[in-house]
Amino acid sequence: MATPQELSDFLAEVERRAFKQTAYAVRDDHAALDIVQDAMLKLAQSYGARPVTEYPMLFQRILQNTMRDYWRRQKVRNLWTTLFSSFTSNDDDDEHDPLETLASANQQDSNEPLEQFERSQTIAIIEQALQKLPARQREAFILRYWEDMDVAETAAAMGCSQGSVKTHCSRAVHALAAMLERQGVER
Amino acid sequence: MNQEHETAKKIVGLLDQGLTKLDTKIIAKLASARSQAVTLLAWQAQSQPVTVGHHALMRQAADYFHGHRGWMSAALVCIAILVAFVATQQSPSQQAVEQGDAFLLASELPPEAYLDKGFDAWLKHSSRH
Repeated sequence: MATPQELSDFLAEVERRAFKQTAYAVRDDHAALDIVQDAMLKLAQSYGARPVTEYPMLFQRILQNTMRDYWRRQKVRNLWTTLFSSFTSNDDDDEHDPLETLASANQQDSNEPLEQFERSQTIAIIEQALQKLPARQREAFILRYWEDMDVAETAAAMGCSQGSVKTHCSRAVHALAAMLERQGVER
Repeated sequence: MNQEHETAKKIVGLLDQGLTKLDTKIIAKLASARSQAVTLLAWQAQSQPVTVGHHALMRQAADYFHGHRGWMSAALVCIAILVAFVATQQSPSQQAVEQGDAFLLASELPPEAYLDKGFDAWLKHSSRH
């Protein structure tokens, strides 16, 4: 059984990546925070007795399931909203303009050195590109490369075959590289 | 394949750099969530002997049943037949029939006397005298 200190160390290591990963998927920081918090609590509550070596995979599974629950709830909520109201929110993030984000990043970092600014621009472009990826490709890319899982672990976490993981990863990398090239970012 | 891996690693390196620039409010909320999870685990660890023992026992039983599914199914069918037999044997209607038979057999009068309609009238008439 993992000790509270081991759990704390594990969560401290993964929490920021988990937040970003969730934010890319749900495109809402508040919702992403709630989802990560739920996943942390579920891990402690249901899998506290498991050895800490199993935590990365378990946490990823919980995170993915919690995200799916969020999408289901959103679907139901959207259904009721469309049924009872013709007014729709203008905060829909589907129509993100990369230039707007770049402009705001420009304003925020105006006092920082040029190199740092260029890097933050590149990061913003990558994050936007990740958000635009199909969900399964993004999931595979993040688990395989960002969480540094091997193909078998990624397949287990995603509940698909290893072949599918390889395909998703390959497509994701090519799509990201193509998007970066289009934005004029050197690989 | 190698180039693909290298590209992925470069992208991931930049994403890692992006993590250091997270909003302080988000970092604080994540730390708070982590603290809650750790507190929950510590609280569960205190009640560990009962819950873990109970879960371990349940898991062992489940594993045993899973490993002996064939035998367990046959045993369950036998138990079901036995229970059904005992239940039918001990049902109230069966008991009533048995008691009725016992009464008739132990009675001084032969069973045919109860079926004879004139016997009841004769019995009332003779008891008046």
